[in-house]
Amino acid sequence: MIRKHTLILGCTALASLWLMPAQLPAQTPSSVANATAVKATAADPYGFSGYWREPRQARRGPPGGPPAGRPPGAGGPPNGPPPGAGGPQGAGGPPGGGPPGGPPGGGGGPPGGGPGSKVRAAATGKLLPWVEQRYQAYNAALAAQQLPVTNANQCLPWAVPGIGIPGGVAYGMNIVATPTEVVFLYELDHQARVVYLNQQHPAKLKPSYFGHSVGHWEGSTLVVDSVGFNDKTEIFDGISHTAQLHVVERLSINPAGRLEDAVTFEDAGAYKEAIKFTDMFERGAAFQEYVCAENNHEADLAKPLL
Amino acid sequence: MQHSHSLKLATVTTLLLCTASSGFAQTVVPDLSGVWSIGRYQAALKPTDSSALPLTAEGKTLYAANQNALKSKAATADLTTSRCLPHGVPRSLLSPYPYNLYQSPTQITFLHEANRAFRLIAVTDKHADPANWDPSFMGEGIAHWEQDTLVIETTNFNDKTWLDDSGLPHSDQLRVTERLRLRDKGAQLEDTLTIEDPIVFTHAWTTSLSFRRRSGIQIITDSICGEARRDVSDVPGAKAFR
Repeated sequence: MIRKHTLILGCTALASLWLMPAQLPAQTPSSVANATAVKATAADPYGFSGYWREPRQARRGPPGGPPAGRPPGAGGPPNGPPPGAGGPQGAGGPPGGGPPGGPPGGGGGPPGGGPGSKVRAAATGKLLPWVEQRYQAYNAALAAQQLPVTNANQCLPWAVPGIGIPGGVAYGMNIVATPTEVVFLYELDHQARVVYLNQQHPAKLKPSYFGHSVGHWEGSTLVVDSVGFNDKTEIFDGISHTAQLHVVERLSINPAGRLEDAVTFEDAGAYKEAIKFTDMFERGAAFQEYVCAENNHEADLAKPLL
Repeated sequence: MQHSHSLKLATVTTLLLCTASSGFAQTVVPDLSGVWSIGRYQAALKPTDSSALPLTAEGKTLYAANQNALKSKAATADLTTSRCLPHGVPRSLLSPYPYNLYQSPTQITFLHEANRAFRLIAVTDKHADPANWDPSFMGEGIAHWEQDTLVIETTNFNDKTWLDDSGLPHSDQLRVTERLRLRDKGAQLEDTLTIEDPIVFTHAWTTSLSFRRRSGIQIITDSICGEARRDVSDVPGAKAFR
């Protein structure tokens, strides 16, 4: 008579013999069941795939401060007539929304807590004068209850890895890890990044919002190198960069099962020295579609699902 | 010899036992992953059997209104395009811009280059509870395999998109069932779609799309609506694309 645990051990041993990742080319057909095991070891060796969110604690916001969150546009996209074929940034003109529902950055003041506090603190004293001047102007506008124009309120892509920076936002991301690419799909305005593994950056890159990202595995750490940005984004609200921006991320899953993203920003045209901070994510539930131009989804809506 | 035969028999028996006890499916599934784009651009979906679209009276009215709006060239005629919104299903698939399909045992992912629309489709047999989910542009899809065919069932759409670029309407009761399989030794991906919507159509109807594998290109993830885009003049029929 075969005991149940003996059967399981035997099956596991057989499966491990059959499913050695090195024996299976990534693009060959595989069985559904086999693919489950193979993907867990070969395509996604450290279990990066799936849904992630900022840890609950980080979303609470500072005690006594504004509610956590960094709603896109702090009031959303233009409420006026729909823009013409040119898109939201076209004939629609400047944002027509009401007053800010809460300052982007969850306070907008100097570093000291709340959403974005980590990157703002990390940037303190490292900004070149022209960046510092813009940052102070941004903070002053917020203090005056004005709504500075940002990519968020124009429904344009954020910086890399800007979606990960917000802090205090309930929006999540879905990671798709494959042997050749790691894809980051963001709840916030269905933004997406593709990291090409074991490749070099092209010699010529057309500047873009997300730049060009290549990555490789160093043990269980995914190292992502991104260049080729345009200068239309900010590493966080009010903190500009130039097309010289170079971002290095080291992503790993810590013993507690959280995803850590240690980010280094370098930009000789904007910063005196590298700006470093670490962001953190925990596994989360599937997220709903969020379309910035439709302003159809508030962060609060996602909370009951967590 | 007898010993060897017994060993083989025991091994096979054990494997069968493992298969049965673990619930492992042995169906071989193909790898649909890759960059694909529509084989030939077409503005209007047509039933595979060449029959007329089975529009209800309401469906005819809505379709005529959409087509008249398009003829007027008003900025408000095609709101999902003019407002840079997701084009829904199956309209997103009709775009001459490519998409990347990622396949894992637990999730099927479509990442469309056009305005970076994506679909995250769980490989499961149970839809999410609609009570917890708002109707959406791209709907909520689940997938399963039937031999070499990936079957995707998508529901819980809003009624803000069209089924195609000609203005073919749908309601929030739309249900799209897609059956995807490789053709031509993996060079083509066939998607047979069954469209159901009791508000707009009198009965379910089927249409078919074919996609061409694009091994030499990478998806542009920030193909921003309203900004410079990829040249798609190499896609047959794309001249008619607005």
